[in-house]
Amino acid sequence: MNALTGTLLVARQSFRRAFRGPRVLWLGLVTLLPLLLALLQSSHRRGGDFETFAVTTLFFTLQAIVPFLGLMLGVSIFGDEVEGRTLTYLFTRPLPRPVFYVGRLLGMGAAFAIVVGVTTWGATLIYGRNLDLAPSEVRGAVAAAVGGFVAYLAFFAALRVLFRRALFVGFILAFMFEGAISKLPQGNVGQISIWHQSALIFLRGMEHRELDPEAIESIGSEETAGEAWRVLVAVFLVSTAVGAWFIHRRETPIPAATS
Amino acid sequence: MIAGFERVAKWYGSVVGLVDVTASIGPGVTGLLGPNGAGKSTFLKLLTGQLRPSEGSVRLLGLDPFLKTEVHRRVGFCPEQDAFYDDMSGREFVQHLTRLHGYAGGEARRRAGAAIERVEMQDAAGRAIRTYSKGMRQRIKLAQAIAHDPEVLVLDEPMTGLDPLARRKMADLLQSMAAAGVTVLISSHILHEVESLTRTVLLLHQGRVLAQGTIEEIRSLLDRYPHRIALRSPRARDLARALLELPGVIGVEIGDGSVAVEARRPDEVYDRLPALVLEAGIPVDALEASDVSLDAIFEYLVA
Repeated sequence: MNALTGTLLVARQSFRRAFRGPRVLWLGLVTLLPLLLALLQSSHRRGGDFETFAVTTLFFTLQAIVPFLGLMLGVSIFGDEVEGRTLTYLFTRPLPRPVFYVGRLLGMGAAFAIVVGVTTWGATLIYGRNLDLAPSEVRGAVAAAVGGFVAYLAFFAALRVLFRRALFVGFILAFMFEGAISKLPQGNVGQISIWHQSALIFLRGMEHRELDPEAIESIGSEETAGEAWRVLVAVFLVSTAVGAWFIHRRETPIPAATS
Repeated sequence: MIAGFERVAKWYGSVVGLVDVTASIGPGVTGLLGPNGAGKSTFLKLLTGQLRPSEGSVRLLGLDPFLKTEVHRRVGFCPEQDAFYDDMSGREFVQHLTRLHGYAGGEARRRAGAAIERVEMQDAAGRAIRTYSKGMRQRIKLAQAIAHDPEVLVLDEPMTGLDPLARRKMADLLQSMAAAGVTVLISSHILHEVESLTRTVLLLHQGRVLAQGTIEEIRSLLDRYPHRIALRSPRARDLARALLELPGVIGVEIGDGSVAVEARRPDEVYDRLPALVLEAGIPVDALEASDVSLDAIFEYLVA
């Protein structure tokens, strides 16, 4: 079995296993949050006020839910094998070590991205009943959520390979660093954040609407959704390559007697 | 030579795992013995390429097992730790890991089934692993290590948690595999566990190889040092007097209802003791070979 076949096999196994275990339960609950908010709001609100409300709720999904899920699931992509001490089974199979990392990232990432995409799509459709959303606007919202999520997932998965306390470091990066730089004026370092790119994709999809100016403060007028996609793809590829490289050199955790 | 260590050292930061280990593993069954913390798991993890030596080189079937992961096609590893994918059944677990050896779905299923049968787990294979007893978990770990018919089988404390019958069965299975040409390396901190499987042992202590050879060679080395056997009897004085007549006994110590015997050839004491107490009519309530544990053996050897 070559590395590519091995990666696809691990990806398939991981995709199937992604929906088993307690992780799925809370993943489901968190991803359902925008959907539930949409249901609640759409049954009580009508008119222009609702538009701002709906869009900021979707924006909240990108700003809070997507990085949160990306962080929690990203660190568990390989962290589960380390903490569960099952790495020993994988590292004694006749496959290069990065196969397990990349395969798990692709398989679990695809499974979770589907969940994020479906729930964002559901929430957007519910709002869309009152907002008269065009299909391109729905697609933009779903793409922004999925794109941002996958980039976060790969980034935090790599972070877990590099740091034992990746959850802590990741939390600071996702919710403090990204939050702070996104508040800076146009054409600034905010552009380096994943949040900025997914917000850009989302906002370009709803360009003709009157949106909350605070939310779009950091988005430059010349920035395009295509550029944002290029950055997200680059984040995914570079993070995956870094994670795979470090896994290639990785040993199993040290025996308990010596630790 | 199936596997070899050449001046291997392994450190975990400032903690020493192995120091200057040179050893070779030949065909058949080899026991890796040492007290807890001796470096057995480190040795086996280095051998199976899960760790990279800090110094020296490790060879398994002629290859560096850390860099050449393809060597695992020919090697089975049963880890010590009680770690599983708990959401899986035993059958799924073995099948899942067998697939990673490159077998197609049907073939992996067939091999997993055969391995599960060999470890006599077919009745419980469909149950979730989290419901398994310790012994069942040990057996399913062994099944995943043998499903791909390895040439070399490496087992880290596989008998832990098994009842005497299950131990016997596992020993029989390992012996049958060895008879079929599989090289087996088994670690344990219990001497008699390994004795029932092989005469060839490698002794580790504090990260160093203390001795390598047959159990007979090591026993003869040990016979230079007195062993201590503790007995309890209501007639401790009479028992002590009788014991002093046995060859190899070099001293006795009488306590309150107890006798501690120091013997150079403890096997002779064990052989003659039943006849001795029967003839003399002295009741013996308890017997404990207080220093035949591996720790004591190592203390002798280190001394």
